[in-house]
Amino acid sequence: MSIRVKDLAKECGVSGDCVRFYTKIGLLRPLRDPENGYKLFSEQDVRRLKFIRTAKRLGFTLNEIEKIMEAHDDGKVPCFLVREFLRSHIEANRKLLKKQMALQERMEKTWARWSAMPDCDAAERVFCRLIEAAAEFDFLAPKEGDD
Amino acid sequence: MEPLEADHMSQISFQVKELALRCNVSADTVRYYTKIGLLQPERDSASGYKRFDEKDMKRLSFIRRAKSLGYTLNEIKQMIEESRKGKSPCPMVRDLIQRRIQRHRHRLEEQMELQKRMEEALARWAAMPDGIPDGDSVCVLIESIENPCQSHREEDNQIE
Repeated sequence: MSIRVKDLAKECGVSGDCVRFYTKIGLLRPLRDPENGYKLFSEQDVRRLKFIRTAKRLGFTLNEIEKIMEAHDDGKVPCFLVREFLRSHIEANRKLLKKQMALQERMEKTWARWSAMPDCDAAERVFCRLIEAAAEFDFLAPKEGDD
Repeated sequence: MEPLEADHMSQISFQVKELALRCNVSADTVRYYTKIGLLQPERDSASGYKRFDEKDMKRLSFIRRAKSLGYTLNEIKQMIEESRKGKSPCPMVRDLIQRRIQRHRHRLEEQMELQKRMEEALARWAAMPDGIPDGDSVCVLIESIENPCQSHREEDNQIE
């Protein structure tokens, strides 16, 4: 079996540009049609592309996917690598989520407080009374470990 | 910091390092804000050093506060410009935070879903042995998760 960019893209539910990009960075390795020079993808490329999409949905970066594929191409079992990558993503994303949830709370509480406050008069000495007032919001008090 | 008499204010001036120290930011931050025009120090005519005053200190603490609320430096610049033009920046300030709250909530939800997908995958893999190298599959763990050609709903069901 050998298929062109468009067919591979359709088969895997991605755009043609996506297939071209993965080819450019070496994740897919089509042959060239000797007649017209078009890229020709094999069954193996279909499997690789499906693999890339699944791995991406699990948060793996293209760089990591490349390493996993290299290990595989070298005849090694990449499972150890895969588990390690995922573990570190879970840890990092958990930390990020915690930070971002705190920011979300800060913004929502601030917005609620501001709804009870009037706008500044033009040309006041402060830049914006709303933001200046946030200095007094208890939930914004700096905590240990904040940026 | 001690409150300053109005008369002294115009005379007090700091160099980059002093301003940074007083506002608890790095000197690089002060330099960067100056470079992009958020702070506008005078130049010492003798030494050429940047001289910041009380006004810059207030502005810097304003910038930090706005940043901690999620405003971008670009937005903060707009606020300062509005206020410089004698307009009230408050409508813009409210509008920006409201829009960011919605966008950010959406992104948080996506990230929470990703976290769930990752944790479920790892838990499922705990019960699976490593694969045996063969030409067909790249990694049995990842390939066990889902077929990306199916719709999202089907994918989600497969993970659960």
